[in-house]
Amino acid sequence: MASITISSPSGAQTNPTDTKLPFNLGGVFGDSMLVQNTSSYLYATYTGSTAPEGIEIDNGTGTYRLGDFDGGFAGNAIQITPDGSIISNSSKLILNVDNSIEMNGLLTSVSAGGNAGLHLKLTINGTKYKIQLLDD
Amino acid sequence: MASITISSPTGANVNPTSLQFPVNINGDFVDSSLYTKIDKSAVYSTFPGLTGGTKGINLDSTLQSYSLGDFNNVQNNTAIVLDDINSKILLTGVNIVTTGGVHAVTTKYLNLTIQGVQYCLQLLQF
Repeated sequence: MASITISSPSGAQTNPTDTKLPFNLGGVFGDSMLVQNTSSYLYATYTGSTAPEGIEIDNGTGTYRLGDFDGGFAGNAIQITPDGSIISNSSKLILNVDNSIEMNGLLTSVSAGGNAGLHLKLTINGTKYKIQLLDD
Repeated sequence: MASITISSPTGANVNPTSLQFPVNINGDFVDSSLYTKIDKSAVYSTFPGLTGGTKGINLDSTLQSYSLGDFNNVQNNTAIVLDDINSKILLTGVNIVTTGGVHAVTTKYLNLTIQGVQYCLQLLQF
């Protein structure tokens, strides 16, 4: 497969910031919100911050996260982690290495609603189950 | 920091479409399936021939919304959306829930840990 030749230093024909992925910004490469520090670690960040936010793929540690996993906003996130650790006291759904499901977030009061007439369908280890749903 | 000059065998130095990420296809930078908003507040994906909206992944730090799947209902609307402003996890998909009926109780429970407390959800037969 043909390769792309990269040489430096010379005229700037790549995006400005080290470790940031480029995108076509009006015909030149601009910095995107995606960052790759190592060959096994890719994450998104947001304007004015360097903190991971949105998505994080860490093939080195086997940690995969989606959402506000650093708690910068409301902390709502999904995390697949090898050690089951919780980063912050925020809303989070965690799929642990021991196959358990862990969730951080607000609970409803004990005054649950009535039968919603619906069931949530789940397949666990190949077997289908249902969980009865109540109104909020 | 020294800048880097990128050249390719065919002379194409940037992918064709503004706001799209490049990918190396046989030595040329071409458009990938990933897009960004111009203010870099969001990254999203779409696919050739797909109409009706984006699909796959959408990371929007302004709306604090992080979506995976067919979140725009372009095809079957099976998706998971993290609504961080309202601190909710949304599931969509026509086959995720089913109407009620009589379902026998099993001897199995789904184990959940919520805010550090362990709970069990009783599982019913499908």
